[in-house]
Amino acid sequence: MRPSVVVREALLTAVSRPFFAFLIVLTAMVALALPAAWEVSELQNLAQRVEEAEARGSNVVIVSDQEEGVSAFECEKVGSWVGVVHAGWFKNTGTVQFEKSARNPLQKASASSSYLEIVDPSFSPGTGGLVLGAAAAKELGAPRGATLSTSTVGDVVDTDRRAPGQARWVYDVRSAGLFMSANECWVEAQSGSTQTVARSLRAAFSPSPTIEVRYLYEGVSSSDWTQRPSQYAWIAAVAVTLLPVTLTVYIRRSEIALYVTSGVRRMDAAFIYAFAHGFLVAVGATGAVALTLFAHLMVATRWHETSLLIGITAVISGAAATFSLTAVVATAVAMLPLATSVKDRT
Amino acid sequence: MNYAYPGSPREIIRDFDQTLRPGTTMGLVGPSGSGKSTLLDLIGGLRKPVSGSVAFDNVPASEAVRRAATAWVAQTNPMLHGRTAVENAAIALLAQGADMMTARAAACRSLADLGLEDRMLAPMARLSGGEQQRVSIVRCLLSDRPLVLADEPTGQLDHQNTAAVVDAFKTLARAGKIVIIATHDPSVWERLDEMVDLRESP
Repeated sequence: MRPSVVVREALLTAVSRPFFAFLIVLTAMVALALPAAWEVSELQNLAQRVEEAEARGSNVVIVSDQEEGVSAFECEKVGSWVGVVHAGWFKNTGTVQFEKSARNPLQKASASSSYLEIVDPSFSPGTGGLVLGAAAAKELGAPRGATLSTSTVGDVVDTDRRAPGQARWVYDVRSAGLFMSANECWVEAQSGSTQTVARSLRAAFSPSPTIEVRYLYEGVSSSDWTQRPSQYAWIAAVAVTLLPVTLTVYIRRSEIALYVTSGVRRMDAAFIYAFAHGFLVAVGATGAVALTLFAHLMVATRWHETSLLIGITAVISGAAATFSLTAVVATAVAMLPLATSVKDRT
Repeated sequence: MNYAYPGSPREIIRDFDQTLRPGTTMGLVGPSGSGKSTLLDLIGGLRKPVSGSVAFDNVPASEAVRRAATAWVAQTNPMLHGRTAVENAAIALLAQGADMMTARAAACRSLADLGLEDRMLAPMARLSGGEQQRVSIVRCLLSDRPLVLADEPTGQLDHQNTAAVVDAFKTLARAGKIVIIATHDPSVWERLDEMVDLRESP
């Protein structure tokens, strides 16, 4: 049989039983789209959790040394590293008592403006005067611009999310001196660069044996993504899609036998039915891609490119596996004994 | 030639010996279970004899050779569903490497010769049982295979359609093919050149 005739016969075979064709296309479309939609949804959930974790500081690395302190000057230099958004420090300088803070003295600290930007992204760098934690400002009744003793309140920072223990702190904003020691150096990394930055910080501050590098907030673990169940859903989709394919090819075994007993080589007959049903799976997979795009448009609010890529990958993985197994099924049915297949009454 | 089903001690085909010349029609008669279909399978290479052989021009032929030499007509009318009569008939020529135009043209001529000129483009499911059988016979006619085996081809047909189908088989024989028909219908085997009654097997 000529190759062009084989392909033509396959295409005619694909559409010659409309009910089965519709069943396969519909099953493939829905079964292959569902894992993709699940993957997109999982990625969106992960993106949201990462966003929430980063708001609480999962991308902030803290360098400290209980015995010797860390160099404030070196800390500020980290701010120019690739992958670093801000690097800032603070140093406790004792307590301070104002007339209105009769209850307890407030903690006083020197801090770089970058540190305060990490603690509260809404902090405006460059403002002079004292900076108060929100609880301290409330306790003192001192909003931004108020006067405390001889100083003006330059800003009030919200410490709730990233430094809840510093709500009653009073910061004196300043630059690092060359030999100044800080209690902690805080480094905010770009999303996705946190671990790299943490490794580099260990190397940069390593001469001290008592140096400690930790994350401000332990957020989403990489295993949350690598161990997600949705990544295997396409395998179930392949099994579901193969059901009507196998059923249809088996029901059509007398047609395959007819080709063979008419002189068509078994492998050509198997190819006709593999190509015909693989074509239907491909049509269904195209529909699944469309459904995935629709699902993506409906639910994807973050990480758009990755979300789309992972959804399409799920569809293509399922379609490719189904296509391959369809060829196996068609070949297996073509190898059935002709004596029974050619007399089949279905 | 002898044959017993695997695991069965009883030989359903026993000492069968027959010689046929091209252009001959032969009927295999006998009740259900007498081995008519099994004998066709053996001749057509779908089964392997326990002993003995099928020979073409006195040369024993393997199963593959016999399959390649045989065209089939079955009672169940195996067909390409959803396809037209001409498409079903043309696959015999397409299998031999003919192009689509040539195959369709030849199929149309042969369908017209067997009285199906008005049914060529009808889907197979819309044809009567007799018409479907004649399409199968056209497929055999177009095939270059010298042997035509028909298993109860008129089992589901009325008298008029049966006569038309037997006429078609005679056409195949006139084209030089050997036609062997398993049947229990006297109106069929009475019109054939030879007849073997499997009830009379030793």
